[in-house]
Parts: sequence; structure tokens; C-alpha cells
Amino acid sequence: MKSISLPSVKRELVKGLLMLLLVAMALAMLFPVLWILSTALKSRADTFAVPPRLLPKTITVESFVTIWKVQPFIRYFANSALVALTTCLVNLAIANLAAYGFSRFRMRGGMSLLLGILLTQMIPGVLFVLPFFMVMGRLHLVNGLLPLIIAHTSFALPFCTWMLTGYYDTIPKALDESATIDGCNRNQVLSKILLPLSLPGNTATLIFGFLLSWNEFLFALTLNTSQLRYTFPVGIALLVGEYRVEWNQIMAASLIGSLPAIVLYTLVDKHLIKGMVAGSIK
Amino acid sequence: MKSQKEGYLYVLPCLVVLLVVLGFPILFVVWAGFNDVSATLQFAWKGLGNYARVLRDRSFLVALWNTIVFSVSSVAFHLLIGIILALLLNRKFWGRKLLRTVVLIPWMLAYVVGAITWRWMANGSYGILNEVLFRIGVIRDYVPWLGQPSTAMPMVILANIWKQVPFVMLMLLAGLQAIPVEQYEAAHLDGANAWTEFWKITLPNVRRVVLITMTLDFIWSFKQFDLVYVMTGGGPGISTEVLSTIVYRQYFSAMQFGVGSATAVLLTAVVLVLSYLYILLMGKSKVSDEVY
Repeated sequence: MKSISLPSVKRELVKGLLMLLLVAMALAMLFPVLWILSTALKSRADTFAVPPRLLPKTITVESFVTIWKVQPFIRYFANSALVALTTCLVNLAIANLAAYGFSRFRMRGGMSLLLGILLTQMIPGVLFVLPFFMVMGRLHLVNGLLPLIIAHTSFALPFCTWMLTGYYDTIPKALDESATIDGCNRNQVLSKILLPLSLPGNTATLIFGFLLSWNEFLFALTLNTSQLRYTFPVGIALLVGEYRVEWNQIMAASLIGSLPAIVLYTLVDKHLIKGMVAGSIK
Repeated sequence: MKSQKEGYLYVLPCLVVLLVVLGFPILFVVWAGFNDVSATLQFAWKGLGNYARVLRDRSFLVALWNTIVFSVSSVAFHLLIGIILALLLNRKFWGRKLLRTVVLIPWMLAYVVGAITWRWMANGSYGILNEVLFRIGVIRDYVPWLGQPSTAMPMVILANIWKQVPFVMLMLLAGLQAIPVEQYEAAHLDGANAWTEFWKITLPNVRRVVLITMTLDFIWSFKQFDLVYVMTGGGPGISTEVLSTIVYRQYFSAMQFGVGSATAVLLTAVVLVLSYLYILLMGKSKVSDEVY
């Protein structure tokens, strides 16, 4: 009969405890999200129950139905979608061109330029808010979605350019050369060789740009004072400011509005991480 | 390699967009900081007058202090919790991918969503936090967390800890996974226990990742706007005002465009210094060295 040695039992016990700790921590991180779900499924009376209940007394989807009537959320989501889609597509085009330039051409000061671009990503948004507001007001563009698209594109551009440059760098330049020998010009090398090969990187860029725009708050708040032009973040934030706050409805709206983020992030999980940690792990 | 001129052509659209859309506003704000700017955009030169006023203004100093406290606390707790999570997730087990994705969810959400959720959880009368803490005996009565200055800032910090820990954890995990296994094997052969391994192998190897992550985290915390604005609006009073929200208040509540610009420039100056540090830490080698 095989005897169980004491050290191995101890090791299994430690492993088990560590797993328990991890699951506990994961649950703690997840708790607020579960709370969103729980509140979204409560009736109004249940939401304001005293003392507050962890789980709904009776599960109801009434919030998900009424939220569209209370505020023009369809409008908000449509605005968000329009801005986000346009942003990520424009961003994709410009970032790819720039990444091609940075990756495949040795330019004097190229590295400094790239770093300078990355630096703009660090500047606080509030610095840009006033001039944006003023210029758009002068150009009579306030309360259109164009200023927001412009703003979001320039916010997403630096990181996406940097990430794509890194991605292009991993594609061997030998492929460029063999394509050139086969008669391709520069643009064809880009479109026929590099773009298809960098599809994962570009997917990540697309999604990053989309989500940055979808979740953006400061400029969406400042540049659109007409309720018709609110985006999703502004819509829910301003709901909270109202006198009678229907938290179950707000939570329902938050949940719906967070779905794109959760779904898309999970899809590009791997690539976004690679893009993020690139350069910081050597 | 190819002629450099063509490279500039490809990079041009990107540069043009950034220079026009971001460059001009920067110049505008810097210029405005030196002027008294009326609501109708009349400029009157004031030299360093705005800056002198800002640096003596009580609400600015409070906001500055809050921002520092907010950032330092956030980064510290992010690292503490992040390293624990990263170490726990650094082992192979069934469901590891799932757990990692679950832990990542707070980071995926918009700051606005996080702010609203925590605002509701911390509610003085109906908040679940009060109920849970009351039940386990930590508090004797419900606390109006966001209604009093002494507890509002800690609560905002807590929300930020929750929101950004996943990112720090992710960076640290990547750093841990980059440590060559041979180092551990060699140490094990020499008879090292887990504690020694941690101090002598793990920590020195992740030092660079930790520094880079800390710097990035600090920068993001320092310029945070959404979370504070939506969760407390800077209140009660000015107890949770941070630099970004103070600028916003100066601009759109007080209509002090010149003063607000000066504050914004100060904030940006600090952030840029930190960003330069970040870039130095990342090293000067081109990204191309990185092999995925």
C-alpha cells in the first residue's frame, strides 16, 4: 500500500488554501458587477428595500423594459455606436499608415517621433476641453457628433499607432523584399502582405478604438449639451443626477451599455495584452 | 533601408491629425494661462498672475493634496493586491483562464459605470456595503460614506482600487511569466525554500515591470476625472476634488478660463514629467526588439 507522506499532504493543503484565496479575491472583484445584475433585476420597491437585500426578492425584468421609455436610451446607444464605429475605422486607417511608416522606414528622429506621439496619450483630457469647446462653438459644430469623433480619434491614435508599429515589427522584412522582387510597389506591400498578416493586431486596434470611444465621458459630456446627442456614458451619468433616482433602471442601462466592452475585450484578450506589455518586459 | 522621405509620407496623416487636433489646443491653453480670459474670449495679459493666484488658492491646494493621496494610495494598493493575484494566477490549474478573465472585468467597464455602481453600493441608506459591513459587525450603524468628508475620499479611492487592480495584476503576471524557469530550478537544487525564492528570484526579476506599471498607474490616477466627477462631483464640499475636476469646475462653473488654463497647465506639467520618467524606464530600444 502506498503511504502518503506528510510533506505532500501539507503541499496539497497549501495549494487548496491558495486556490480558496484566489476564488475569494475573484469573487470580491466580481461582487460589484453581480450587484449591478442583482439591482437590475429588482423591482423599484425591492431596490429601495430596508435593509438592502443581496438578491432580488422576485426577479423582474421591468427595468430593462422601462429604461427605454424613461430616457431616450436607444438614441444614446445609437449615438455611441455611430461615434465609436467612425472613430475606430478612421483610427484604423491612419494608424496603419503611420505604423507602416515607422516600422518599415528608417527615419531620422523616427523613434523620438513615435515616443512623442505616445506622450500625447498621457496629457490629461481636461487640458483639451476648453479649446475644443470654444472652437466647435465658433464653427457652429456643437451638438453634432463630428467634434466628438475628431476628439476620440485623436485620443485613440497614439496608442494604436504604437501598438501596430510593434506588431508590424514582428513581421519579417524579408517578406517585404520578396514581394518587391515580385513587382509590388510600396502600397501593395502594405495591402497585400502586411495588412493580412497583422489581422490580429488590427482587430485589437479596432476594438481598442471602439471601446475608448464608447466609454469616453469628459468630451461626450462637454461637447454635447443637447440631450439628443448624448452618448451612453453621459446618459447614465446624468440619470444619477436627477432628483428621484431609479437605481434599478440605471443598473439595467449600465449592464446593457457594458456588454459591448465585456464581449469585445474578452475577444481580443490575448492581443491587447501583448500590445500593452510590449516594451515593458525585456 | 528605404529612403526616409517616403516614411514621412505614411506618418503624415497621423502627425497632421495630432498636431491640429491636439497641438493647437495645447498652445491655446498655455497662452490662455497667461491671460485673463473673459467669457467672450477677450484676452488680457496677466503674466504669471493666474499662476500666483492658483498656487495660493485653497481649493487648488486641497485638490492637489487629494490628487496625491488618491494616486499614492491607489498605486500602493494596486501593487499589493495585484502582486498577490498575479502570484496566485501564475500557476497552471483548470479554470485559470476563466478566473483571469473574471478578475479583469472591472477594468473592462467604463469608469462611469464603476463610479455609478460604487455610488449606489456606498449609499447611506440603501447601500449594500453598509448592510454587509453591519452584518459582519465592522460598523455599528449605517455610514453615509459619500456624505461626509472623512469617508468620501477613502471610498473613492476604494472604487479606483477595484477598477484598476486588474490592469496592474495583468502587467505583473506577464512579468512573472517572463522569468526563466531555470532560475527557479537552480535555486531549488541549491535547497532554497519558497520564501527565499520569492525574495531572491521573483522580486529582482519583476523590478522593471513593477516600476513601469507603478509609473503608468500613478499617471492615470493623477489625471483621473470620470470616476471622481460621477461618483461625488468633488464633494462633499471640496473634500474629493482632484486636479482634473478642479480645472473643470474653474472652466464651467466659475467661468474662469484663464485661471482654469493655468491649473490645467500645472497638472499637465506634472504628468509630462512623470511620463518622461515612464519612457526612460521603458528603455530606448525600439519596439522591434520585442518578439511575441
